This record gives sequence, C-alpha cells and structure tokens, in this order.
Amino acid sequence: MSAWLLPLARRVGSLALVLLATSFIVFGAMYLAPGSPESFLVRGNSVTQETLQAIRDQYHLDEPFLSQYVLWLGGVVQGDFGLSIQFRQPVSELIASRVPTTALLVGYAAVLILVVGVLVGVLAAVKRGGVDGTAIVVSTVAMATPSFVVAMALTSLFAVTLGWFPAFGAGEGFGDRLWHLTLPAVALALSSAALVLRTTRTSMIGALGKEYVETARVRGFSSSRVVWGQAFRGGIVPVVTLAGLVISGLLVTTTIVETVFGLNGIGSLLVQAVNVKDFPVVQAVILIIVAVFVLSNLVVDLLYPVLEPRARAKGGAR
Amino acid sequence: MSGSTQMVDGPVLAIEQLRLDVGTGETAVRILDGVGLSCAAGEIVGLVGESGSGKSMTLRTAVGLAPKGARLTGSVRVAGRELVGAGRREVLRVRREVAAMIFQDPRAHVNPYQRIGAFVADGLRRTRGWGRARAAQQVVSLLDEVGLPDPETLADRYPHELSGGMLQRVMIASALSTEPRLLLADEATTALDVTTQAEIMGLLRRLREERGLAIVFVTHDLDLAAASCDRIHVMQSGVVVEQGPALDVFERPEHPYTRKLLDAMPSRLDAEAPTPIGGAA
Repeated sequence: MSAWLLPLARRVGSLALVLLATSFIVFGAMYLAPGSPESFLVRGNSVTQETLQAIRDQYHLDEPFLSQYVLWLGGVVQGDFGLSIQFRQPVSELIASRVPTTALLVGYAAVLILVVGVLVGVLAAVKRGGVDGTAIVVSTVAMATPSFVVAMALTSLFAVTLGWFPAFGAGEGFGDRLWHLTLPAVALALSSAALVLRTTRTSMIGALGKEYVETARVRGFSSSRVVWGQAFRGGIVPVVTLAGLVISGLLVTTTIVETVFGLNGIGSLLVQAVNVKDFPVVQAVILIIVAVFVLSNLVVDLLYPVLEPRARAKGGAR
Repeated sequence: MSGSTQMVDGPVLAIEQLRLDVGTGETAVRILDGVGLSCAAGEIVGLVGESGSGKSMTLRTAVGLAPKGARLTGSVRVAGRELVGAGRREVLRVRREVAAMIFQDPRAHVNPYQRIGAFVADGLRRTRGWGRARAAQQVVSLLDEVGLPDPETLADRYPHELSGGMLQRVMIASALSTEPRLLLADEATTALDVTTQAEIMGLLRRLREERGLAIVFVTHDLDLAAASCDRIHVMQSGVVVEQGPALDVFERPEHPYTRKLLDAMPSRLDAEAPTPIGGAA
C-alpha cells in the first residue's frame, strides 16, 4: 500500500506545484502584455474618469501586482475565475457551456488517432513492403501539414465540393454532433495520428524482432497470436506514453480547428478572449489546458508500471 | 500427404543433402552444403562447430526457421513430415505437434511481459485450445518436472525475478508443454555458469530417458558434447566434416578441423603448447 501511496502523493504534490507556477506565469504574462482591459470595455468612447475608475476597481487593477495575483488565485481555488470582461458573465459558467463541444471533439480525435495510428502502424510493421512505404510517405506529409491547412483542404473537398459533411457549426443531438465534428476531428487528429503511426511502426518492428517473439513463432502460434498476443504487448508501451502527451496536447490545436470550423468550444473561446484582452477568460482557459496536460502526464506515469513489469518497485506490487 | 506422425518409424529428425543459399547472383552465399544428420527417439546428438559453421542454421531448418530469401534444397524430415518446400500449415503442425526449441539466452527468449505460468501455459492455450484452469494445472506439473521449486508461487512471478538457470528450466518446461518428440537445443547452456550448465545437461539427459525425446544439442563446446551426447557431428563452413559416436570423435578425431577444435579448448591448453589457429586446414 505505502509503496503505491507515497509515490502517488509525491506526484500529486508536484502536480500542484506545476499548476501554481503556471498560474503565476499566466497571470504575469497578461499583466505584462500591452494594452489594458478597461480600454477594450470603453471601446474608444469617451467616458468619465469615474466610470473608468469603477471598472478599475471591479477588476482590482489599481492594486499592486502581487495582491492582484493573490486575489485572483484565491478565487480560482474556489472555482471562481472572475467575470468575463467581454461577456459580462462568470468565467466558470462560460467555460462550462463550452466544454462539451471541445471534449467531444478531442475525444473523437483521440479515437481516430489511436485506432488509425495504432492499426496502420502495426500493419506497416508486420507487412513492410508497399503498405509500409505508403504509410511512411502519407504519414510524413500528414506530420508536416499544419492543421489549419488540413482544415481548409477538408472543408473545400468534403464540405464544399462533395457536400458530405457540414463546414460549420457543432450540430444538435449526439449523431448530428458527430457528423458535424467529423471534419474538425480529422483535421485535429491527422498529424498526431501520423506521429502515433510512426512510433507504433518503429516500436513494433523492434518488438517483432525480439527473441521472445521468435520463441512464440517456434511454438507454432498463429501469425495474429504472434503479433497481437506477443509482440504488441511490449511494442505498445512507448505508444501509450506518446499518446498521453499527444492527446492532451490536442487542446492547444483546438484553438485553430474550432476557429476554422466555427465551433463554440474552449479553443475558439481562448482565441476570442485573446483578441479582446478578456484577461479572466484567457487565464482560466490556459490554466485548464495546463491542468489537463499535467494530469494526463500523471495518468501515463501511473500507467507505466502497469504496462512494464520490470519497472515495478521490488516488493511493492502484490 | 505424409501419414500420421505416430505411424512413422525411423529417426524423428532426418536431414539429408541439405543445401541452403542466400542472396542472388554474385552475392550468393552457400550457408549449408550437403548437410546430413539424423536423430532417433531417446538419442542426444551433438552438433559442434565454431560460430558461422552453420550448426544453428541447420537446427533451425527443423522448425522451418530459415533466413528471409533463403533457398533450401535437399530434405528435412521431422517425424516423417518434409519441411523443405513445405507450406505454412505443415510447418505450423511440426512446430505445434512434434518439435520444440530452446535457446541460448532464456532471458531474451522468455516473454518479459508475461508471468511464468502464463508463458508456459500459452503453448497449451494457443495451440491446443486448453482452458485457463486446465492449462494452469498442467503448468504446475511441468515446472515441477523440470526441477523448479514451489511451482505454484513461481507461476505467478515475472521473468526478471528469476535467475538465468531457472529461466532456462522455464523455457524447457514450455517446450515440453506440447509433448514434443524432438527437442532442439541451440547453445542452451552456453550463457549459464558451469554448475547450472551441468544441471541443465543432467535435466536434458533425464528427459531423454523419461520421455524418449530425441534431442539435438548445438554447441561450440566439444568437451561438453563428448560428455553428454551419444553421437557428434562436427561442422565447418556449412559442411559436416566428421561424425560418429561421441567418444570416438573426442578421442580419435580424424578430421584436422576437429583436432584444431579440440586443441583450442582451454582445458587442453594447460597440458600442451597451444597450436596457433590459422595453420593449414
């Protein structure tokens, strides 16, 4: 028990430290950025000194930097990210209304990344030859193409020319939403799927050359048993580590994809907020993205000993 | 095709005029050239030679493991089944029903991601379709048969928790699980220390007696082969240069290469002046 709990407690502690440091950097960056939120609010209208002062008071803009930070952080730990300057609405409500679209989009993309990346990666490693060569060329192109280019190419082909998928909006109801999110999910997934494919391929080629896989062949196991029952178990370990990083990193790319496809998610919210210097929203979204990233890292770290028996602490398990 | 395995008399393994080429045109290389070898039930045959002599390659042809792009001619019959030119089904049948193989480095050849019990049971589960419980029971008796203590606990452990000698016994147990008639040992004691090596050899000899196994034992150690095998084949550059009863080959070597091999053994270097390698072959 304690062999499991202690490392876990230490990881959770370091997770909290990372988030604290991030919160400080995020808050400080907005503080240092040129322009000020009250100038957005008044939109160039001439307002009285009193009105301006009222706004400055509401957002504690006259306080020293550190006490502004402490005031903000105090709210954040209670789930209060403040009021959006742009929408005049609590940031937490704003984000909560945007999360489902982004979660579905990222989940959809994650499934595409894992299914396509792993399956084609294994196939390329097993078949080699033409399948492998094609997979390498296509994945190289996919990795090198920025997601906004992919998004526009997909829109022009599948939405405008063929009309198979909508080019805009998130849809209503689960089926319709999936249909609406297909092109965005593909655009979001493509380069990551290519990366997962390449990692799976390399790792599986290594695993298939392992002596214990030869043992399985000599024992007369069928080809699919050799690949999926023996080689895959070891070959997938590096892929799991990579997939954790890549999938949590998708949140960053949603800024582009959601904007291109007109989706009201976290990513497009961040872009809008940055454009109008909506400080509280920018801070909250970035903090959430970092938290998801760090948390998924933690999950991957905890998963590693499960996947790799040799990494388990001596006497710790069982 | 060839009849049931049980009805065939004669040697379990019969290799005749085996020739193996790799590469094409000017880069073609002949790895094996007219190799002949046989091993009957209850017999241990040693296949001796230095690295690159083709002894491991010969052994591997008996389970259909030839390098990519290799061209085989001649005959490799395992329990009457011809493997040269055989299709995948025939090769799989030989691997599942007749022949088993153990290797030099059990740490690399035992799957590090499986518990010992699961690893040994896999042969029965994947090629015989046995259920988990039935296979697990059989595994305990197999681990016991190869002399591993406390088999129930051991079955639950991972390979990295075991010593090399114990892992080689696990390897042997997994090879025995499908009740093969032919056991191919590729340098199976080379990576082990001398005491463990003697124990494993003792185990192989016991299994030969108890199960009537035909064992082909590949090694570069002529001393070990002479002490453990009934007959010895000496290979050099893909050719069997000398063969005969173990003691005859050991005490009255006829081929100069066999003499050179014997002279190169550390145990003899103490007694006589070393003969430089590279003299007339």
